[in-house]
Amino acid sequence: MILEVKSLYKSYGEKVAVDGVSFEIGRGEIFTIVGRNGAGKTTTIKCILGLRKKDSGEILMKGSRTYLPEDKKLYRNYTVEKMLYVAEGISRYFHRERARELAKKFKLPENEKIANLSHGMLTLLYLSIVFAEDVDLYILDEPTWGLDPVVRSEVLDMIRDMAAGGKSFLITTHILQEAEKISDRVAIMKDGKFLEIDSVDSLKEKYVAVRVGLNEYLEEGYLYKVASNEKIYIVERGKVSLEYQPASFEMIFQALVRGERK
Amino acid sequence: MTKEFYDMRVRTILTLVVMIAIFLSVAPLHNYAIKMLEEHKGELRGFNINIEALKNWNIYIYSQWFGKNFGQFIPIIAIIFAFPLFSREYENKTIEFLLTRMSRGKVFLNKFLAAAVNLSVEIAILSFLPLIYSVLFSKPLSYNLIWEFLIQSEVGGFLWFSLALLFSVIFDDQVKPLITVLGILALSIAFGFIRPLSFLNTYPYILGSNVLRGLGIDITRTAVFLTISSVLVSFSCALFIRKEI
Repeated sequence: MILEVKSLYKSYGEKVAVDGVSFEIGRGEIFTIVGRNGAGKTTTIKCILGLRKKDSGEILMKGSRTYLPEDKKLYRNYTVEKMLYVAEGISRYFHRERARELAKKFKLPENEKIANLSHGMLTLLYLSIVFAEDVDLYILDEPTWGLDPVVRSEVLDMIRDMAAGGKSFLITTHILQEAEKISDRVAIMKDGKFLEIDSVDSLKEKYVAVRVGLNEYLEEGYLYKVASNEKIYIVERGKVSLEYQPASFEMIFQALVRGERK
Repeated sequence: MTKEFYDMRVRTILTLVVMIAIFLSVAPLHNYAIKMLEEHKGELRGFNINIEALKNWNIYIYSQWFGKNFGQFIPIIAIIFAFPLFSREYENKTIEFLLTRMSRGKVFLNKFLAAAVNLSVEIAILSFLPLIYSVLFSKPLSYNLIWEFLIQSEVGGFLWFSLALLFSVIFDDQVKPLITVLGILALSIAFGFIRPLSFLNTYPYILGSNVLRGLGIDITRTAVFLTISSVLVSFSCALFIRKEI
């Protein structure tokens, strides 16, 4: 076990941002939290990292970690090369040569000022730094946001390769296909709570799609879509004795986070 | 700490160049200044200027450098060194990069030490300028007073540095700490004009008026200022360690 979080609570005044979240991440596991904006994903991560103070709960970190934030902000007046040099003095796990190789792979101009990099290039530079840190747990908040599909795929492959080598990942993302592609387990988060924690395959096994008429509703299910002549519900397999179809991860996610019954 | 020194290089060089330029507009003009004052002796009668005393190089350079030009800039230089230390990292959201890779205590210590050392060295260099100039141009300078001016300049500078450091930790942008500390500096001068509150004005100490009068270092104020500075730095550190990012 690399990370164990037990009953984590965090609120800002009346607003509960994280509401009793518990989970653990094993060695070599990719654990992804998916949820809409404001679901509490980033606050959960920031509490784990100690950037925000938790109200209650327990966080047990067994090993080293690094972090890629949602806002990929680095020192704008540094060049790429200077940033890698400075990172060496800041992180004891950082390997500059590895970072330079990654920067080269991502075609980052080493003498360019960070202020002149595009959003995608800045993300790649940050990823080069993070991936060049030899730690046990990589905490990545929206790691591929703003990257083109080719580079995104490369980054996801790198994550999978590193996980195969025993590195663990805690990732948040809006991109469901991405979560589905790389995650060993996903947590669907809404209003500070985890609605589900499981592998994508298990979730697809657990939930099915059921079509009913426009005037009908399923108390046991979550409304996914209202079409012109029918409604589609996502229900737990075996809870209703109606004809069902397999549900995609996106259908399950959307139905659960909307939480609508009618 | 390399990063901190690198980040401060522009501020350090710029303030040093400006102050050296000011020094060079004061020191070489000794004879010219005396000549000007003598020419306008009649008009300056009400200003209580002792022209005869200013003819003495010691009195001229100490009063014009420590007691005026350099002295009055010490709090400003100290504030310039301290106000962006943390607030710039918050404003640019780069603080997360540091805090997730180093302990908060280490981040604080690195920033504080790098800036404090920079400030201290710069004040020392600027304090020794009269000595360097006097040696180069064969001016007779009794340099024993330099140490006393230096200590009061360092302590006074450190007081304003510590105050600016505190506001740099508190505020999440760079404008607020700068405005707040400059406001406090202005108020301390203004209140200093009211006799019962004159102790609030730090300038008589920083400008070394007691040193110039031959009274030596003001031990009481030195001790009080050092104590206040230590409390401010400790409080800033405690706040930074608890601050939510």
